[in-house]
Amino acid sequence: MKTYPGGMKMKKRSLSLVGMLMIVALIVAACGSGNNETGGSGVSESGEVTNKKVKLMRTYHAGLEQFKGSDNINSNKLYNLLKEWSGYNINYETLPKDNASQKISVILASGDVPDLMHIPGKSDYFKLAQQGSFEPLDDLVEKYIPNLSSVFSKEQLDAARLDGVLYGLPVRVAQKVGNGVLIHDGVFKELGLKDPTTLDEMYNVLKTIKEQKNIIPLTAAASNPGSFMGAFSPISSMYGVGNTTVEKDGKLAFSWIQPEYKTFLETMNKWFKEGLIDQEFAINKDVKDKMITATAAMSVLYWADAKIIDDAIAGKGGTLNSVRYIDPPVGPNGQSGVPEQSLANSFVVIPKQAKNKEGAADYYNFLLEEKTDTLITFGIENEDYTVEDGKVVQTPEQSNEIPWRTLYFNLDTDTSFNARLGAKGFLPYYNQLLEHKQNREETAYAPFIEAYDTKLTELSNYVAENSIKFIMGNRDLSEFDAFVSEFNAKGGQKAIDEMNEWFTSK
Amino acid sequence: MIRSRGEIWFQYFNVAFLSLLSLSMILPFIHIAAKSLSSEAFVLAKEVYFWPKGFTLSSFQYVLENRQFFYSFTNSVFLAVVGTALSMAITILAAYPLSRKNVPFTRFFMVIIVITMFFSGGIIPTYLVVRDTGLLNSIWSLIIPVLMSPFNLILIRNFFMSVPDALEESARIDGASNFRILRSIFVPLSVPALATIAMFYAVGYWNSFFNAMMYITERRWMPLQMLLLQLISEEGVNDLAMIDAFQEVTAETIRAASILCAVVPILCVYPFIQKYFVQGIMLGAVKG
Repeated sequence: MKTYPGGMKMKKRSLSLVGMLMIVALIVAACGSGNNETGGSGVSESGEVTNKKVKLMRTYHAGLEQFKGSDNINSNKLYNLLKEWSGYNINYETLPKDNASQKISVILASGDVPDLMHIPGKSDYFKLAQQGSFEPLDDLVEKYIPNLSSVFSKEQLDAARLDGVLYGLPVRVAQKVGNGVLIHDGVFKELGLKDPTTLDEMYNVLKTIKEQKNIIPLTAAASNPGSFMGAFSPISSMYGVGNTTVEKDGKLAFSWIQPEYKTFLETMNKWFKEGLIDQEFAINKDVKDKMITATAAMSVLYWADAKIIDDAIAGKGGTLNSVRYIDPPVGPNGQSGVPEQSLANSFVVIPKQAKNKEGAADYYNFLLEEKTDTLITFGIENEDYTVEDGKVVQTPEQSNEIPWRTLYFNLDTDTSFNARLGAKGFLPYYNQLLEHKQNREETAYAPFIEAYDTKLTELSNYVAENSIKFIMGNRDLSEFDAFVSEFNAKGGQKAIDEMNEWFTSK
Repeated sequence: MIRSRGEIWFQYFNVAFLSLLSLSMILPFIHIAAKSLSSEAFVLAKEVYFWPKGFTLSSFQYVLENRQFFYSFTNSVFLAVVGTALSMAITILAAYPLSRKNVPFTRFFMVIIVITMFFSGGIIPTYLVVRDTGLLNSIWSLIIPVLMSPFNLILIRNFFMSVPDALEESARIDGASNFRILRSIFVPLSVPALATIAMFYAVGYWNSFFNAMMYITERRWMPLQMLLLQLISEEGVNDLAMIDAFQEVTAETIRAASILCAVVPILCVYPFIQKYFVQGIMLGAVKG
């Protein structure tokens, strides 16, 4: 290798020079990100919002894929009206479908934040609120969001409070109930079976299906994380342990460690051994295909799936209404039902560094006004719907012309939910479920309780894993007591103790 | 040619084994293609394997008529074409001087470049830089931060170093400038290596996803892979219970058609580049 005069020396000097430059650059960069301006106050002396620019970031929504032509979330006929009516120059952005929480952290850390932001996930919301990322909302709500009280009860808002301070408004869910026992009507008619109303009748029905048709009497999909609990909830509810917690002697206790839960597992274990439950339930990801092809007669399914199954059966040359929900059978002690759908899982927040907090609150209030709600629920009168005898009439075609309109919701109302379900043809299935008994889950109304909320997923996964083992006979039910102590040792005891501190002082 | 029995059996085994291997790669494609041409009911019933049932082109019609798909597709094509061209230009222009022995401080610059292979600024600082340079929501945010891959630079540099000095010297005697030498001697001699690297870049740009997720929120600038993920990933039970519950889940057949439309274009590039791949490997082997 050749050497050059002074080469080595230069090399050393330039190294230290570059090193110093790098340090300087780092310091400059660190200072640069520190002094983000928060923007001047956009409010006049009378409290009127003068800053009319609001940036809103919402979660991913399938409606984004449904715009036609050159329309998009920031340019369409409804958006134009929202802009005109509110007087706000509003700009919508969306979070990615996956890794949303990572993106949220990056955005909040960068200081370049939207004025209104949707945060999916209760634990993310409370974690970020604890870190001081969000603006306390109590004053803003009082000043700018008078319409809020018409939507939320005090109890519902309290569930979003951290140490008594409100940092986010729940994205209300209008759905009351999610799943139920769906049966293949054709199979029932063929065998002359009546809907089971009790546990014993249920057993006999399953037995008859197995003996006479030799198809899977009851299937379930329990392989996706978190899916086990729902997969058999109408059955565990017959024993009163379908929810996460039960109330006993004025205190809450985990359902999964109750003696009734053991009895539930014993029954399931028996049914499994007799071939009444799908032998593959633990590895099933989806059971729609088994219901469509009638290789299974019953399953616990979500109302949207019920319609998809029904349509697919019809699409393959079968008849419509081949599947229907049955009333949840009643257990030995008269218990039954399905878990009530939990409250909101998403929250709307105003980030601490937002430039136009007042405008954000004001715009949120605007969306709750009746006129606005009608606009984003049904569209434009005489174009997307008509009013007859004071009632809104909207055809499915009209509704499907603007399927993306719910993008503009910050929360869902019952009127809108039912209207949309009706237009999409889901209502016949959903309404069957509505009549079922719904069991209230007290913990859904609790504020953030660290030992409980951070552990719940781990605990319920542990229960699911072991329940599957018990049912399939891979773990003997004589070990149930050992399972209970394992569960408590894993944090179950601590979680429920802290939950009870809130519950008993309520 | 005389072959022993063992050799013949070995050939049979080879053919069988390699056929199985290729089938395991081709069949999923055929499966997706069959799904994309079937009607939804049969796909949901899981009755479609390698031949469409209830033949229909409607899902392709839906995908190709979808404006967002068109936008995303053109974004990805732009990324792959313009990004690759810029990346190649920058990489070659950096690799050439770094490969010359008469340029001072090359080792120092190489160290600096290699460091970036092992350490990065982290997600948030990088995001801040991208934001402050005004690249957010711009297609350039997917090109400029990843314009040069150090790994590819080193490959090309090593390739240039293996070109005999004598060639360069003779050109210099003829009065060629540095640029002329690069253009007329180094680049033509390195076509196989450059084609391979260009392929790496193009596939990288075509598949760019993570940066898009971080820097792009406007759907107009979303590349294809990001759109695909949104179409394909399953709605969890929790998502369905949320506000969007009423939304119809994207149909299986449309997912399949989208996958095909996204994968086939980049797949078509391979056969044209393949001959360079082979040459590239041989050249490296002889010199190495």
